[in-house]
Amino acid sequence: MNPKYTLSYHILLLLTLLTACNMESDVDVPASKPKLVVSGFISPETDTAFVKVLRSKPLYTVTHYNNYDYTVVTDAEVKINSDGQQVVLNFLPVQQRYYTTELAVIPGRQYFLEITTPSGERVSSNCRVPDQLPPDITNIALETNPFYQEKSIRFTLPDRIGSGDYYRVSAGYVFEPTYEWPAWFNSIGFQSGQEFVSDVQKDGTEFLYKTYGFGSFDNPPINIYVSLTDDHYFKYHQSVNSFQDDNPFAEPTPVYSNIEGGLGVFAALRTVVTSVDVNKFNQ
Amino acid sequence: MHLYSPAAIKQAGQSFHTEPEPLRMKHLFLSLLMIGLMQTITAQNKFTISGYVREKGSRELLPGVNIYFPVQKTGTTTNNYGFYSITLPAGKYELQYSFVGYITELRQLNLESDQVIDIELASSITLKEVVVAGEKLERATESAQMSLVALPVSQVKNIPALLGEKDVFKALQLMPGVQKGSEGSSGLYVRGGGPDQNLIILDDAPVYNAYHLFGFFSVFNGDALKSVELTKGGFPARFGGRLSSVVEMTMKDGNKEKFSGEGGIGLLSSRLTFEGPVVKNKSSFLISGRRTYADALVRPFLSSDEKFGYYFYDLNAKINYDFGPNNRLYLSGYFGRDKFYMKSEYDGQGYDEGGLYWQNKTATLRWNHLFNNKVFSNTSFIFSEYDLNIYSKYKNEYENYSLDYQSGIRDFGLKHDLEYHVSPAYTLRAGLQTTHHYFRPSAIVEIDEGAQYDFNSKVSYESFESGIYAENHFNFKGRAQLNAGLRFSHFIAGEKPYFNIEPRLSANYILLPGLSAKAAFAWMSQYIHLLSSTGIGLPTDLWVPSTDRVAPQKSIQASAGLAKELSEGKVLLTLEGYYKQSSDILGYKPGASFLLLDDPSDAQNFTWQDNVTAGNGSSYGIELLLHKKTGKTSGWIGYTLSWTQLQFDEINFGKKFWARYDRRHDIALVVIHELSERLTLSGTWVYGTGNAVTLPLGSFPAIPHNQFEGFENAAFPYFYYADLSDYGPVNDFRMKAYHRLDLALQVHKKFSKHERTWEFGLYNAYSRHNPFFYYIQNEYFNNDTYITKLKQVSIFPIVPSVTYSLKF
Repeated sequence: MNPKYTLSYHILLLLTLLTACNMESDVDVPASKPKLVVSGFISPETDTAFVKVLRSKPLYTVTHYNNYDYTVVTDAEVKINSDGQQVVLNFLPVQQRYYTTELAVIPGRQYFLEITTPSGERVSSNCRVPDQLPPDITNIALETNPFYQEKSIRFTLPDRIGSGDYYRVSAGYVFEPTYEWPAWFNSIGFQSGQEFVSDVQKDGTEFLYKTYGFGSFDNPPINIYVSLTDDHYFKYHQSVNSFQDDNPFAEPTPVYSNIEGGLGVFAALRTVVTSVDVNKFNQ
Repeated sequence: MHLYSPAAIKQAGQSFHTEPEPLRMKHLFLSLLMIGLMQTITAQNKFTISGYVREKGSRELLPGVNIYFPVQKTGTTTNNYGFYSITLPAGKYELQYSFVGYITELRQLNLESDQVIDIELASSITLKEVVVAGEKLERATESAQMSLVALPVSQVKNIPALLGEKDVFKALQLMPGVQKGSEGSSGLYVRGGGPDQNLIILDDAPVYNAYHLFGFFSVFNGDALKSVELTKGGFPARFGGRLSSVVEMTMKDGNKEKFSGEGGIGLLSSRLTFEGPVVKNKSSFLISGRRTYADALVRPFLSSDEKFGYYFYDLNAKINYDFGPNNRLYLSGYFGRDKFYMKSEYDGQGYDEGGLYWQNKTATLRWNHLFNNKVFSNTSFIFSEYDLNIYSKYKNEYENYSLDYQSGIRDFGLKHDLEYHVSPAYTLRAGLQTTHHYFRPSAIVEIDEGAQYDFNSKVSYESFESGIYAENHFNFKGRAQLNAGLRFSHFIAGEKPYFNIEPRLSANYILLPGLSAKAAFAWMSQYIHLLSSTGIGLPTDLWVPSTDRVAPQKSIQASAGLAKELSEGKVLLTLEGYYKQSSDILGYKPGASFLLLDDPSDAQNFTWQDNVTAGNGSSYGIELLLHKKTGKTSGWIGYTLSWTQLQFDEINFGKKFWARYDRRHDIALVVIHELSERLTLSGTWVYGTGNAVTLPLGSFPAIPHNQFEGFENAAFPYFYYADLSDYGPVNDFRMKAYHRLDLALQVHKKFSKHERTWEFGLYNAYSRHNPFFYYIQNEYFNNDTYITKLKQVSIFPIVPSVTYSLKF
């Protein structure tokens, strides 16, 4: 055992001794029903809008051992309204989610989601599509670490002053499709810079990024995804990311939701993809 | 019996005017100050009665003694150092000196020159005499101060306690408006504020971590204390730096006439106090210590190459010297330490050791000076330090590792207070205080010789906190009292200075004899903050300063109430309502944890400013107290009806939520009954609404957005389909209500030179399973199913105790 951890083991032992005569009893909890869990994202940059609908599992009820999966709701009526236009989404069994290609996602417009089920459940939500595309990334540079025979990419995301923005930034290799394999994507994390950032109290900041190292030879192109998102998108992903279930000393981490009557998120984003041909830097 | 200072007695007959000049309020602060000063100028045919009030037998100075002139319906009280002063027109006077637990002294005098009257009050407890009938002990209805809890230490010693360990904090928790946190905890939650918002001072020195044994006991040894006062609202301007309360404790000075002592042996700890004269009637000392001995009891059962244990001890010491009527010097100190340790040796092949200890040190040097019979001053030099140290060492043939983590705070302060007793109608108090804080949230030295790793890191801050104040006490013909004060406070840590003006006002109006209406208003600022993982007073809680990013906390509190004396002043009934609005209070962002026990070296990555968020709080409530401090049957009934809500932009999605210790109903019933001279029976019963907690109600999957839509493998983030808990709103679930009955029977016996007491106690007499914490557990069945259950853990069933105490 790492000596650092033997200490906390002994402190736990002491606390156990202190409370050696502890007694346990069951507590009645209010019955809770399954809730509809929604995940829907719209963007003018994609031609298809997807909405996934599942049911949560209430605690404090008898559950089967093997029941790890959540029930996907396949018979819901999923509608998105905006500016007098209503689109009903169809269920796509292969992907177990609802989709539409008929929704015109217009920057600056507000969209209303409504989901009803035959058993009478109803949830709703709305979001507004950001007006602008994210700013272009700048100062793209390749950095080589000869010791580890690795490369990494640096770039800057310059925040626009005064706009109140939320971003998601990610990067990864893109392998072109072959006759054997479809197009393939491998994400690369950042050794500096965060995937989700906001300019709250940091208006006009230049966010600096540096990817983890990747191999030095014959690199496929690297795509850098920068999304400018609404606050629902940011808060939901941030709270999912920081969710901790096993630290009794930490404050509980409720996951953000903007689904009225249910859980999950309905959000909008604008995305720009920048492809970097790493091999060109080598030349 | 020595009644007056001989030089002070002069006989003369002279007619006199009893009523002070009438006062009119105009501009609140400056006008009142001017009027007060005018009083001084016009008071040419007036004379001053001043002196000290002491306890008979020990010559211990008594604070808070009432000096009352029944005919003129005016009076004053002794200050914290037992000094009083009152200036009256020449004439014949009758005056009473009364104090809870002491026999009232009556005096008559012809006042035709300034007089010094030092008084000694005899304890009614030791003499077993009935307090002079008809004399009011409490003048609470005639004081502008409200929301003040003055708890006689002697009463604390009669209240039943867990394992017989008498604890002033646990006695304070039984007062309305003051609540405990979780089961067994000594933390004080005053009018919705957290334990971090209490200013705990021992002989002018702040105590930063006032808890032993992970919060189960406070560090204050009742044997060494003279007085305990808790102010929960209507703060006089002399107090500042915290939002919710001031707990002011004064150590005994020590018996000036003879050597005496007391001690006790309990299940958890033993204590011993000695006091006596150094130079008779000039100088005295007190030394008092306490230590647990579970570690010593366990030691014989451990093998020779294995050691582990836990202990705490504390030591109070005080010495004073009387340089004559005008100068007095006090030096007092406190040192207390908790230590948990373990060490294993491997047959000479190496060892593995670790532990943690935390310690408080305070020292105060005080100089009382009388400029004249109207002007009293106190100057204090203050030192206070709190340290936490966690260490771990591991050594064998291949490895040599050591880790040392420290955190703490250290203060050096200077405080000067002046009291000017201008007339019965006006007293001015003014002063200043400045403190240098040195914060050390983390200092780590980690050495791993095998891995050639050597890490040394230290995070520290320095700051200055200062305050200057003036309090104007007005007495309007004995019919109304007003304390109008102003405090200017200043704090600087790093680049950004903070400056606040804190007006304070409290007033009292006597509606009928024995019935008064009170109101108070106070602005407060708090510049230093406690980062707590659990709110239960763990030693790992960290004090940190306000910085450029973290603003000071502020509050405004308004309170109003009625005070009614019953049974000729022996019983006091108070009803108070309050409303408190706090801003920039600190909360923890979801997922934040400041607990460094698991891996203290994590502290190198510890950025507390990123983990806190500022918000607002509001609390309001009604408190009812019926208090009888003396007599064969004494005790109190307290009831609090209160609400406390918090709002943080970054917690609960900005929506308001109940504070964890929001308590709708809180009841305490305390009865101490002297069955006979030899037997004292006491009991307490408490009830409190359950704590508000956040409870998971269900689970649901995370379904994040796939930013790489279009790629079939679409490398989803690691948290895709992670199981999340559906918590519902923050603190929306109530734990079970808390209630408990404690009983104690004391059997006293007096011998020629000493007195002993056996105490037999029962904590939680009907063994109520009160909630300590809740957790979730799955229970499995044979048919491949399970059920998740919410489980309650209770830690103290019925706990008997026996304690032996000796007084000599």
